[in-house]
Amino acid sequence: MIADILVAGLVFGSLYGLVAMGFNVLHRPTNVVNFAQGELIMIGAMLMAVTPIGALPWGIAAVCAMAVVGIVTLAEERVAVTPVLRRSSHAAGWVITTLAFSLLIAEAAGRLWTDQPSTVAPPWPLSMDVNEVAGVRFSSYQVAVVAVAVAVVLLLGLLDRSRLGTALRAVAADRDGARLRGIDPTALTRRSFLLGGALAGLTGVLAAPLLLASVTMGLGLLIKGFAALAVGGIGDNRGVLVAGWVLGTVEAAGATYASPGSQPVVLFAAMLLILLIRPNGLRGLAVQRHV
Amino acid sequence: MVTYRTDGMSRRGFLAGAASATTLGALGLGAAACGGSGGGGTKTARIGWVEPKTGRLAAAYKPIYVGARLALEDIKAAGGLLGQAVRVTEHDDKGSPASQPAVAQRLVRDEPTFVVGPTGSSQVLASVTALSRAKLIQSAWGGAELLGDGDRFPHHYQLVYNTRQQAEVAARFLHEVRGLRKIGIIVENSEFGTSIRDAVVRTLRDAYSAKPVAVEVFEVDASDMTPFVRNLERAGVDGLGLFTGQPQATVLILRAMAASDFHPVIVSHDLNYIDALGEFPRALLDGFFGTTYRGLTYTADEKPSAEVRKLVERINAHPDTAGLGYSAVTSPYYDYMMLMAKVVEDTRSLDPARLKAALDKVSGHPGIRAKVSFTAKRHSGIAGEDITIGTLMSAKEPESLGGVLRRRADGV
Repeated sequence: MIADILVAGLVFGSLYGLVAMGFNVLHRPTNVVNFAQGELIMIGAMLMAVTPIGALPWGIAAVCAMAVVGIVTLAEERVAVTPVLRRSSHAAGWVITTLAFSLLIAEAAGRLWTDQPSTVAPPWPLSMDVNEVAGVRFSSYQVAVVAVAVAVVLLLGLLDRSRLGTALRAVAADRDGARLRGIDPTALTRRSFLLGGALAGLTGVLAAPLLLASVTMGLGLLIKGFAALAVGGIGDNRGVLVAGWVLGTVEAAGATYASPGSQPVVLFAAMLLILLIRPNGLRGLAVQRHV
Repeated sequence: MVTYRTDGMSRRGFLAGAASATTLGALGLGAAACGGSGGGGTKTARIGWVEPKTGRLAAAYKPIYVGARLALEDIKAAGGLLGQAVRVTEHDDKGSPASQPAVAQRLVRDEPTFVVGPTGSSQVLASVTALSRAKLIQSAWGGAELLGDGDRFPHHYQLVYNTRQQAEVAARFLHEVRGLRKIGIIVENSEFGTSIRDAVVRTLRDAYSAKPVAVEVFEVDASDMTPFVRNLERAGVDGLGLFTGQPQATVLILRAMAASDFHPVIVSHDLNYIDALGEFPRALLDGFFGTTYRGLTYTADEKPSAEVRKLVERINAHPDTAGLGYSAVTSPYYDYMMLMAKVVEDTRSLDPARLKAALDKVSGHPGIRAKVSFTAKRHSGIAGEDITIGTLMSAKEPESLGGVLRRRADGV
């Protein structure tokens, strides 16, 4: 039973961690938390569901989905974020504008698709068939999702150490100061939104075989991604992945052991407890930067 | 190397932002825009119509109103109501309970003869509450038992079976017809889920002196149903009541069952066959049943009436049906509109007060799905004997007319 809980915690926690990493990528140069992230993930999943996989290889379909979501996110940056930041880099108008963009996406999705879920098959040779090894039950696709989440953390870590990453940290620390040093914050913001959008698309692509693609899937992932972000620490990709795993495990344990209907209480109690003990995130790095 | 604190968003700021966004989201959903034009000239009978035109549920709820649109065609073809042209004023509720007070205000201004909609238990409760003082005759698609209480909501008429009726039929099927004794329940954490869970528990206790061996309640956004399904399996459940308004949840529950080869007899309230079900073993789907209307079912010896078949053909041909013919035909709105047309003709009046008095005396009105009867106190119009159990997989049989009708389960 404990093995089942841990498997569920790792797999679904990886998705929550990926959502939180998407927040981090966009937040770094802008200090904006993108409230449309859940709906962007939904678009990624729905695109996989409506793509005829027989006609288009899974990998190409996934890249197309990521590209489309990246472009949508770039459009969001143009219409909902840059105009706000142009007025003041410390203004909080993005709360409303990104939320409005999220509502627009939901509106468009509601017109295009019904709430009926669609199955998306994992790519060959992966499958959702359950294997049992030493009493632990898991599918090859579940293993792949965890592996991809770890790989994304490593890639973002490499990016962080590059010149681009250094420039992003400079913009995050002081947008105007970075501009004086010859860094173009607007261009960096655009790149981050494109990357963050592609990451949201990837999260949707990965989530679709597990959760089914549906227009209603975004909100739940958004909330749990937020929880992982709060617990793991803003800006700390390793922290948010670990936080995702912790929250996923607590969620699975709550469903198994807690009385019916009290799982959200268990989840948020655990989150509160962690925040009380580790107010700066699980790894305590949330608000520190090395330059 | 220098380490310093950034002036970026603090944790407190982030959490405050998240709280603000949640509030704004609620406000955004609440600020529903209403479409359609109000008012109307003389010699025009007006019908108020509440339907999500925008928002996440817009496409999903379209099929539910197909019956009403077909009834409207029939009423217009018959010369309107009392010979007057019929004017429908459509209001967009975005499928949100928060929109209902604003929609109700517009409905009151329109002064319609009667109101169609909204759809969804939470939306309906908000709507009937907001409209209760306006004395507008209304029928909405909400299964809560209290919506059929004529004392509480004297102007709302329920033309769908309620959660208590559903629970009684489901419990009878599992306990009496199938002879199962280890009955479990899995429901979503919502008004509907709570209502039907309590009704099943009550029915098992009162009618069979039994109680469920497991009750599982999941959040509507639960990612993984495996823990809940494992709990049911561990409890040895052989008959399961599965009630959720989220098709995604149903599929995830079935997936968790398929993964562990756990195949109890399932009774649900939704018999829509969707493509996502194609991945499951036939043995699991053959044990999937659902509550439905007797008039929409068939057996080897009993076929649906010619009227039902004709309506199904029209539903299937309608562009808004979008493959969800089962939702379209089980919707209350065709029967409601045709009943209202008959009551208007019988009373020779468009006055809501006179129509209400007549509605309170309707007895055995032959609806397409079931007979409808009301009294001043009982506004839950569907008789218990008209509710039955259908099989999911009969959606694949030619007799289902494209997955719209269902074969009645053996023994019911």
